[in-house]
Amino acid sequence: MLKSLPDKKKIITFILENAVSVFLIGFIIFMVFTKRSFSTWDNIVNIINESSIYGIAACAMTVVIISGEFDLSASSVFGWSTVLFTMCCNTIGVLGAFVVTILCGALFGAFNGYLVAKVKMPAFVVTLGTMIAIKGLAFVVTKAQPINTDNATLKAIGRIHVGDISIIPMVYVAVAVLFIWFLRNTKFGRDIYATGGNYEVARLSGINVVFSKFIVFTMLGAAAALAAAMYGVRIKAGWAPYGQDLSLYCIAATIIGGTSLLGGNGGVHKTIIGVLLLAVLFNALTLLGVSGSMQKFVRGLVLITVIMLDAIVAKRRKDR
Amino acid sequence: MNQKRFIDVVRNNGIILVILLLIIVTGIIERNFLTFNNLLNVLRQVSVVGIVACGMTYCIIGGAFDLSVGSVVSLAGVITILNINAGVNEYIAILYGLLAGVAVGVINGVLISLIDGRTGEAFIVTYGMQVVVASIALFPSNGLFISGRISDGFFKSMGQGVMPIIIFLSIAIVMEFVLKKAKYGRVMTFIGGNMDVAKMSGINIKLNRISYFIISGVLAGLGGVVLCSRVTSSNPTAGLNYEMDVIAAVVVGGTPMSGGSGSVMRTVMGAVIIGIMSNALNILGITAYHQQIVKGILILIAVGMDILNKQLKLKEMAHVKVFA
Amino acid sequence: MRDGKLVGEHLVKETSRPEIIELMVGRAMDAEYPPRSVKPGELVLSVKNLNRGTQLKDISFDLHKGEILGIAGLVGAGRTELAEAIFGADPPDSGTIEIYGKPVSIRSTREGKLNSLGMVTEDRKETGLVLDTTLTKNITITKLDAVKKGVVISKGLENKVASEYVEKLNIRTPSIHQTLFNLSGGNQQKVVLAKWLFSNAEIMIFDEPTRGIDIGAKYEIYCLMNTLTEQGKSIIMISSELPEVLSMSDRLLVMHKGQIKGELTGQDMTGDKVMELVIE
Repeated sequence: MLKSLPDKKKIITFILENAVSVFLIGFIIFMVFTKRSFSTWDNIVNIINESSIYGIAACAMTVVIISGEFDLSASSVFGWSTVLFTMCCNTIGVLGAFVVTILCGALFGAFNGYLVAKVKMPAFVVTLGTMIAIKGLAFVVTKAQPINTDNATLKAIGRIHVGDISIIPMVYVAVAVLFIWFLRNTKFGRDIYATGGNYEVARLSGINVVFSKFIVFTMLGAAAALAAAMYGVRIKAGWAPYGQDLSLYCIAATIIGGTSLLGGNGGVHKTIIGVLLLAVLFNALTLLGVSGSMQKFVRGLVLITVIMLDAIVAKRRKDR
Repeated sequence: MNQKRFIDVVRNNGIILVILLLIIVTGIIERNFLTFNNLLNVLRQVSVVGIVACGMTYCIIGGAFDLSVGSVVSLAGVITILNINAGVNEYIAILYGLLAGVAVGVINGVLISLIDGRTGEAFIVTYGMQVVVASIALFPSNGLFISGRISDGFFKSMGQGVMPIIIFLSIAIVMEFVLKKAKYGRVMTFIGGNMDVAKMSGINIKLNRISYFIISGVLAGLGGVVLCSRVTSSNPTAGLNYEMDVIAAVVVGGTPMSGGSGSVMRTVMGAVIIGIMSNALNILGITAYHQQIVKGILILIAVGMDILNKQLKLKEMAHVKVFA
Repeated sequence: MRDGKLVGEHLVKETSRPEIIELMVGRAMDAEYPPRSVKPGELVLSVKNLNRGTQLKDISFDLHKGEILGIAGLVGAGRTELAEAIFGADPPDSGTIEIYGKPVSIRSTREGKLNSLGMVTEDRKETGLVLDTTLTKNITITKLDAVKKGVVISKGLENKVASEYVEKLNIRTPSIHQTLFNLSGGNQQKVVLAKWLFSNAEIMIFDEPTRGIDIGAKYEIYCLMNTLTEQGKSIIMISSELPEVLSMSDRLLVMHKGQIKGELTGQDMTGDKVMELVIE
């Protein structure tokens, strides 16, 4: 059996497809040798804690992207949810806060889902509209002021630790595992892949594509709300502008991880790497003393590079 | 026949009618609202967003989005003011600002053409550029406002009186003419309508698309120049979240997000409508934050009606099958 | 059924193909394919050693003036890929193309069009026509310069062009401003043809020209192809319908897995010989 591709091409393909993981490992090695403060336990804990909050939402965003759409409003749902969560902690207690916040997030998500799946409005516009509207709502309700809480139960939850790891990474892991299992092992999960892969074919195969698209937005709304609640556990406050960059962060992490924007492939297990890379990258930049605006620069550059690589890989795959 | 035409008019312009209603009601409540001065002021307010929205319209008709316009507005303003303060000839300073827009447009266009990017890729690439350019804008002044030492001259006049409005409207008129009457515009509607068909009809997709981003970039630069002339200072974050307002203007104006058709004049109307609405809401005592909610809902309604319109049209057309 | 009415009901064994065709079309058809009488002339297109990745391997062939060169093969043989390579939609990695003896470099569809090539694609709805715009606009897109008055596109000139082609090609449509969505497959295909006639394409590539078209319209398309070759145009016809490609071609290339397996002419143009070449 003759080899159909020369070796050089195979190597290039491997590098392109796994560029992100390769880069991550290389970068970690670089940092370990360059900055002592990087590889301290404290710093690692920091990275884990930091990335877990957005990570929760990133898992759900991945599912939305697999179904062939994306969602800009997650940022506003996050900001709004931090406010709602804090307000509820001050009034109906922590348990009620969790329930109300997550339900509200799911409702916003369901609204998005309905318009996209049933009315067939383009996701970009729908989530743009809801992003603006929900952000406005958060500002209006709080008159742009942050809200604080010193709910004792909340503080107690925040103090739960296994070793140095707080409860937040544990929730992140639980959510990630749940999503991974759900996508791989349930009919719903596979339906989502089919819907994103080829909507018409999926529809004609009897898959309830409308439901698939609807449910992924609802899940993202709930996940963004949960992430916000976790943030509330950490900082015990809520403010409308929180989570401004959540949507794009999650989309970036998903693509960086290797899930294609076109939908139908990838998975949450890949996004976890994307989240990790972003977290390590920004942690490193801060440690290296890179200024805020420079970090922004790098963030944008990483995003562009990753989407270009993603597209180039897809093109090569098509030509093979 | 008359009844059907009336329904069509409502369907196609529903949003505008609602706003018209709002304007009339506000005009009754507050007599100062409908004065010439006030309306002129509103027009002046929307001019900057309007200029940028014209460029965005071309992008959207051509099948892509340019999310980097907000940062280009900031960057162009920073570059222009810094140059003027350093004593550079004001025309050259303005040119530098515009060139910044051109440069960003070229980069956007080339990157997206390289990967044959559809809407989704264009979205992310231009978003990445937005972040990159925003950080570059912060650079020269370390994120601080810079007050402009502007002497009387062309630059100063750009932001005052009716100049912004004249710049805005003349650009819009020229762009609309090119869109509807010239070869360039016809090609744009094909590329946005179905890129594969355009390609297989012998059209050079890459060059055309790059030009859409360049136009979007240069107009964003122009918007930034006019803006910093109006406020006589440079704000490195002047354009923050601008792209949302710009896209809102295009959406409310009725240009479909799917590309392939649209009108710059309609975008002008969209920008004006949003401006008047903001002004009316201000007068009625509704704060900026409430306005955001309204703006968001407006976008949803505008697009919702567009979609419903399309679905109804499809149903109508399906009954008119031509047999051969 | 025809035109929305039930026109006949028969047991399969009690009817015949000609009878069914007559019911479908509304009149008797003497033959399904019009006879060809054009003698191919000088060399128009010469392709040598075309390669592209794993899709096209060392393709070489010639095309003569007034000729219909058929390309047969199984789905996935690389025929559409070959067409796209020549037309400029997906340029080859190596190889040469000569038109009227002069070597040309075609790296984009625009260059293909400028070199008098035209391509009627496999899927007219996806890549051939913009369905929600008018007939007129779909035709003039290939040579907008010809309908300009100064800098502006002239509606008058455009309409004139569209009306000409509606008449020339017998396109059945209520008006030239009709949205293509409503036209039947055969008429849609004629609009695609019109657009390449408008750009004065001398070498036309037809990829599955009668897919999704009823028998009556198919015959019309075949007649049009004959007329085009009588006018000196040359046609490359890719088809998966063996009867069609065997009847209409002057010469036949057989492709398989990205290569040209052989060429058939005259008496050798039979279904069996084609399959022999494929299986070899």
